[in-house]
Amino acid sequence: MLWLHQVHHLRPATRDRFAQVVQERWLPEVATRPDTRLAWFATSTRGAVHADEAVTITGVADGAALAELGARVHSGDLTDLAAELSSLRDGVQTRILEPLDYDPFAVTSVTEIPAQPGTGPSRSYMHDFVPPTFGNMRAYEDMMRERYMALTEQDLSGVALRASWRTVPGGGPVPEMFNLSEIRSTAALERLVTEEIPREYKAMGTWMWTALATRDRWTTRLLRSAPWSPLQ
Amino acid sequence: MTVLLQDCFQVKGREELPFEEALRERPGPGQAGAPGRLVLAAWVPHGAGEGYEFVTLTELADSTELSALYRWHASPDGAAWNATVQGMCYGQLSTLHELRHGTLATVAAQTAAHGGGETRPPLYRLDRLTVSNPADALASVGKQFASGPAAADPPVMTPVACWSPLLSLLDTPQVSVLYRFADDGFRRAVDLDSPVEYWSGELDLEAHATARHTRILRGALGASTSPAS
Repeated sequence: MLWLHQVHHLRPATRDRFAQVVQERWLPEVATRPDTRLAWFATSTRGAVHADEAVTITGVADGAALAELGARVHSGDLTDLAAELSSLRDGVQTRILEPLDYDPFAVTSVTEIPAQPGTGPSRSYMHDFVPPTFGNMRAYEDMMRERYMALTEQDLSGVALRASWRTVPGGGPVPEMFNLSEIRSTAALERLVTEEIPREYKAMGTWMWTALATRDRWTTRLLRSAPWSPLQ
Repeated sequence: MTVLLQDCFQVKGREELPFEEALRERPGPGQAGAPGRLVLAAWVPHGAGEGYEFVTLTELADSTELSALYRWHASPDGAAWNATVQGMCYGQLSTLHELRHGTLATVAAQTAAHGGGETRPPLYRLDRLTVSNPADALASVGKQFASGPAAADPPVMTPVACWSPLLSLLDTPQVSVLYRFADDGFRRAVDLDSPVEYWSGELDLEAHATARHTRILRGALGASTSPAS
């Protein structure tokens, strides 16, 4: 199973139109083939890095299904629709991702993704691209599996990791990890931004200190899933 | 004419605390002994941009003070400060601007008054808009500053200052707007039960902007910062 991850940089004042086209036409059209489905749609909050943005995640069964999706867009049933979506944005970043072995994401097969829009409610997410320092991807994965996944939601101040994937060869920046974390409450989201992490959490020997040896740069966004996103 | 020096530091993760301590203990531009006034020092918190990014704004009264700042950078004090701070960073983007609308006086007071530690830090949003016509965009900002907030309810945030490159059209056509959040503004904006799609108080620049880069900023340094005058 592969995940096609796209960050769409929308042209000014096209946010609602883009969402409407994806919901009403792109989602059902993509799902006419059994091995490809739009799984997730979210938009950036007004405080996200770049605005306006939409993020889509599409489940693809395998490499053959990925190639077929490309062919459908290039000269097939999705060509016109893809061009319409393209006209609503200034640019797009596309990545092809695969789950890591500890990935907590509940869906492991395209057939588990609903082929119709969902009914919400929308949720709030922290969306991180994390490039490890060169040569440390394996160490970072080990750290996530053995240290981070052992932390409780309370340890993580109301933030729960929902997906942890990495870029596959040919799928974008390498090495890089993608982490999607749900923020469970308004209070947790407010704490995340307004409160400094206590100094003792950053002391030598802590998870944070150790992990900083493997990565200390990331691009992080606050997103909200659309109520109609097939998966929340 | 007020000149603004904006510095964005990409700090190494393990240097986060030493970096802040260095800024406190070894005053740089806008602090004791160096030209200018430090009006803003803030982290980009997790969830709101690039990891470990630190932003400072230093106000310079005029071009004479800018020349004095250049001399300070060339002095032993300036060289030592740069070596210390830059040694803790992956990079630094330093740019010059002119304040076009608003004032940074209240921001400077908040920066000086923030006690650090247990006290709640002030929150800001800094937008950098790439615009098709800087003069038109700045005129629109000026009108909106003059007319005040349109919303009847207390806005989520309030625009406090606007600046653009000192070299105008010789530089990238950009306009920056700094907003200050109301005390409960961020909570209202991101409330999971009743999210706010567009944060009230935001200037309407849709017709001018071709791209918008935005950061939420959390005030830092605290009371030991040399206060802005």
